[in-house]
Amino acid sequence: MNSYLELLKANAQLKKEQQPHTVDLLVLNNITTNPIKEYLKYSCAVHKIRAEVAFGDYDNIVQNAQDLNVEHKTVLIFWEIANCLHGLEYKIDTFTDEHLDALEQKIQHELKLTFDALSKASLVIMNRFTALPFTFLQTQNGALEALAGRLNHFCEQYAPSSIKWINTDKCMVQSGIDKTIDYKGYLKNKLLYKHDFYWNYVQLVQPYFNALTGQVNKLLALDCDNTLWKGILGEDGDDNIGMDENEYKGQPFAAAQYRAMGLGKKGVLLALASKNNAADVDAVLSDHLDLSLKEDQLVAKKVNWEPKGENLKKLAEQLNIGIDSFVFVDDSDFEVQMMRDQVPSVTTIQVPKNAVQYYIDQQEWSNYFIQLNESEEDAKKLEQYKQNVERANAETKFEDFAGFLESLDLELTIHINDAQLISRMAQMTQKTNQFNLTTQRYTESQIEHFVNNADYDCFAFSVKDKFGDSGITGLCIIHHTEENIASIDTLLMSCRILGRNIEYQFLEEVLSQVFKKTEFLKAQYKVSKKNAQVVDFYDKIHFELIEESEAGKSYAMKKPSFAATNAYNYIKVNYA
Amino acid sequence: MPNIEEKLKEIMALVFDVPTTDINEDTGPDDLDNWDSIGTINLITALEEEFDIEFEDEEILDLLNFQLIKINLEEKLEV
Repeated sequence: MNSYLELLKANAQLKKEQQPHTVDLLVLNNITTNPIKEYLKYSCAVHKIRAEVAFGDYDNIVQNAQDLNVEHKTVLIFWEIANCLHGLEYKIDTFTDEHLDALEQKIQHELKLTFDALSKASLVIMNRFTALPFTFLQTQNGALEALAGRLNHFCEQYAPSSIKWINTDKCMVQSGIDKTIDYKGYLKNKLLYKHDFYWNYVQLVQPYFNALTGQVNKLLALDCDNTLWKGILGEDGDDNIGMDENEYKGQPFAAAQYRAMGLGKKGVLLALASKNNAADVDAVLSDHLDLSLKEDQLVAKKVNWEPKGENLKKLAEQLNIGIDSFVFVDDSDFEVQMMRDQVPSVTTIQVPKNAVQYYIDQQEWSNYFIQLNESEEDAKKLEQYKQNVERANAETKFEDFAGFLESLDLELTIHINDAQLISRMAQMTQKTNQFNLTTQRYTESQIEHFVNNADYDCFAFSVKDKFGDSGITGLCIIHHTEENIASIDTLLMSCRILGRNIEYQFLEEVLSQVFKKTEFLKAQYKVSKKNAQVVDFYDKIHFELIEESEAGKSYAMKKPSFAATNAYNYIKVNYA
Repeated sequence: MPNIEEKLKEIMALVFDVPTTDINEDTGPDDLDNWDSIGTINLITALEEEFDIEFEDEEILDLLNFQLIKINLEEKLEV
């Protein structure tokens, strides 16, 4: 995309396409940023999101934050330090200490007011203060840079942790000041940024919009030859493949292994997808001295001569996660094209031919896995998926399924309105797609509201068995809408824990709690692209079907018709 | 340059997000919702890009409708 006009043309085309997701954006600014609208619309459309973009008034951030309705909105803030006062960039070095102090206090005060006012927004993305466009030719740091540094420090201390910070210096570095900063526009219309700035900016923020709309990737599938190591194992032999980080040739590949491991540490599942003899790759994994990525860090190895798309589809089934949460890295044009063609929902990354470029591009890998809130649960996931495989093996030993379940020593621990779990509960609403009856996405601040409000009850649970602890993996939010009437706003579970009747035992517990407070409970199944597996969940547990349409089904249950079945007594229930 | 008129129409339609059929010789800021001060800035950006020209502030004040913009463009591109 080389120009604004080109972008307008592309948008005119994209406008005709229906998008499955929507984000409601509000841009607050103290400089003119209106051209950003088209960039946001374009980038979102490419990621299957329709972006509604509205702007606050020019240079009115604090007031707009208080007055405009920000609920369920994503707020982007452009707070340009140089325009906190007309001409500040050249005036500031003339200020007395008192004057500077007063200005700093004023900005801090405005920042605090803004942070408070935006607590209801779904998401707030704000730029770190920077003086770069006005100081990049200056040898010594001046007062503007010092002020920017102090304000950033202030924000680190006082801003809510849910605000996402963007370092716009990155937007300038990528394309250079000439292509990103419009001094003429700034002097004429307070239009500081050029095409490349906006373009680079939306690339940086787009992962947050993807996460907000539930498009979160979970697994990184890596090819081996010329992706994890330099060379072709089957042809060059294991002595001649390169991944020694002390050699120029090997370092970009060693870096790739470490980049993948870094993602693994954050909870991303790592797998191999390679056309090779399995025994050859196994030998490298167990014996190669330069290898950093070890076998126990992988959730699966799909090393064979089958099409990679088929391999990944099978893997998605085995792990019980959506194939659209897979990211596939390969150096072969053919394999990448084939994946795009055969399994288009997999995100593909093509390894560039130039190894140095490969080394640079790896910076971007983490963007594919950005989450709105990371939690401790993520890091434990690999173990749980591995336990799933162990469990699957154990299952075959038992003739009947009930006997198997009893042997697991299952324990369900329920947490009610637990403020410590807010981040994890929000994360589950954003990421869970399959076992999710209503697919409501919530942010931390929204969940916090539910936890602290008597009209809502949040039931979260963890499951333990003799193989390990799943962590917090399910959530039910009850909304007491009127006296003696409640509805199930959210019911979701991670697919990792399904297949052990946990879902039934959990809901039975929740219902017995809910009917202590209410007489009549409504429930809903809302159709999404991915939740077909729960289409008849409420039927199975004897809710009464009230209405059925293309969009979903409505159910109800009266208190007298609820009776605990006690059918799952092999699952021990605790309350935290 | 015979196709200035067509190009201008196309660009205005893109910038103001309306079909080209909504734009005629007399179309001005009062006729299109998106033609406000920001719309003018966006239009200038797009025209400067497309025709590789630059507008001065005083000129921008005169760009009050399609006809006037067209005349201004023709003058600029012939000089």
